[in-house]
Amino acid sequence: MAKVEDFSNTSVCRPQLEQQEAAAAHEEYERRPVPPSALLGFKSFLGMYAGEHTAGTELMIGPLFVAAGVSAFDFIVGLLVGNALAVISWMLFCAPIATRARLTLYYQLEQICGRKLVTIYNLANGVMFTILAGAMITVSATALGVGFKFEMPGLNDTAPTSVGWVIAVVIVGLLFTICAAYGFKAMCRFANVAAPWMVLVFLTFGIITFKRFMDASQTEIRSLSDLWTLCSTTIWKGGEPLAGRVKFTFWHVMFFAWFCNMAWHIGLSDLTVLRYAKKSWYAIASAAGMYVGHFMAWICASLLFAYQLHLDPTNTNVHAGPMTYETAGLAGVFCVVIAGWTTASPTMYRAGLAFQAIMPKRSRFAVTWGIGVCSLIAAAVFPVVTMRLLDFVAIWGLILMPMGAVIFVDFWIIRKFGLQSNYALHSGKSFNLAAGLAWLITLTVCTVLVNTTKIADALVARNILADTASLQWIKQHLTIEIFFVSLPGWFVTAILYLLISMVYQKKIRPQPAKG
Amino acid sequence: MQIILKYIARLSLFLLTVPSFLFLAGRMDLQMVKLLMLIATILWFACTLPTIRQD
Repeated sequence: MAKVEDFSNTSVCRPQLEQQEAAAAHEEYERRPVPPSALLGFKSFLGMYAGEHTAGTELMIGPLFVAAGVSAFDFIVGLLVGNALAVISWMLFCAPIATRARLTLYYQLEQICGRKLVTIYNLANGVMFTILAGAMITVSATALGVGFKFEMPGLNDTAPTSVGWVIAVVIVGLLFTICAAYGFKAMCRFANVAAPWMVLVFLTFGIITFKRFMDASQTEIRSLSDLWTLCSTTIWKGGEPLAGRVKFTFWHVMFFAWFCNMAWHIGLSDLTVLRYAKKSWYAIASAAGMYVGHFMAWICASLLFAYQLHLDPTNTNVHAGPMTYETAGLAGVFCVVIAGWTTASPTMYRAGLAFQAIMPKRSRFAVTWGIGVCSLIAAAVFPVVTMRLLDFVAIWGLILMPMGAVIFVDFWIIRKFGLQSNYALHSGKSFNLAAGLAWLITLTVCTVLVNTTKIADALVARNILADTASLQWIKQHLTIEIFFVSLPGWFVTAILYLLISMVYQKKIRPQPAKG
Repeated sequence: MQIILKYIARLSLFLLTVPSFLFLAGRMDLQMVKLLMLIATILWFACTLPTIRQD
């Protein structure tokens, strides 16, 4: 069965970790703790995190903040605080367990939840990676729009808008799939070579666009006050969001930045990586990724779209290709293609490994091709996924987060209640019902909370409920936006797992060994 | 040869970013910035891609 560590990263591969593993005679410590001789220093994690969070999707996420009508203070401070919380989550949730257990996420989950539940987790992970790869294909396909001038989907389009667009997506998707299926390792090395160049191109997007804003608004910057005035009155003006978008406040930005990689830190996917860390504080290296990719890159990408709107408020298209071409010429277009390519192919590969874990008889090559085709279909037929990338990322975090809560409770708390940790391992169960139910109920509760208003309206329309004042109160106070629901969701899972385990383990308590 | 390529690669990153700062300072026009960025991009990959083949 494939390991989780092979697909736990959505951006670039992790060469130093791989080299370390290869050096240890191909020992990858899949089913035993990483020994002291295989541990890595701080610099390994610094380089890995700095490179992996600047991806093609940043070119989409940055503009979507502007589309959500974010103000300068909410955006900048929200990103500073949210990214700090993400780093703290890596340090306090993920690293302490990783450096104590030194096991892969997969093996730790298998010991707690059993093999069958881990298979379902792999399936969910695989589907999400496939859709994410589709979003990366969409971003890169916009680069072809620079030369071929076909009509590309707009911000609120749910379906493809031209044959040219579909052909572009198919071409880009097939190229990415070929790379993932045939030359994955070479492509990984290329991704690592491209990373410093790519980060700097993102920076130049920001610098050039900022100057263009200064020229367009005839502003001179003589002090920090002038700078802030330009940012708050011309670039990130706040106000109403674009049609069909949710208004983003400080809280939206903060929670999005915090939970964007929720599956990795609070969801504990990075157990697999941080198990190689000599000290748990090495997780602070994640700050390099957060403040390069999820601060600098998002700000620079948002500037591109804000400038486009400044010139023509009716042009709400988020097309990375044309926007970067206008700013940085062909180097900008290359950046769009390479940022998408170097991240989509590993994402497809990792999705392939997730599905291969479920269908072990299928070759990785065949599964990766299947994933690639599904990704390009998702990209070509459903551009709405990319145009709603903020929502998709929040949903991804929500779906995988509960398993992080289960591991957290199982590792730190469950024994204090006289219960058995690693229950599946000790009972021989292949499906830990307590973990499965906690996951399912949490997702159900969160889905209901996000859709309370819609559900209530539907029940009123069918005359099942009367539209009373109390129903209005429920709609007003019990509807939680998708960006916030994961926080209460974590506590719901933790409490449920503990409570259900009390009942479940009482019924089927493992027999103590005789003698 | 490798050392030379390494230094040219570092210089290309310099060439990639400095023009944008010159543009910000009003000392270079955007077309020149775009051209220099393209040259820097070609230089960067020309100098770094051989290392992939060696790996």
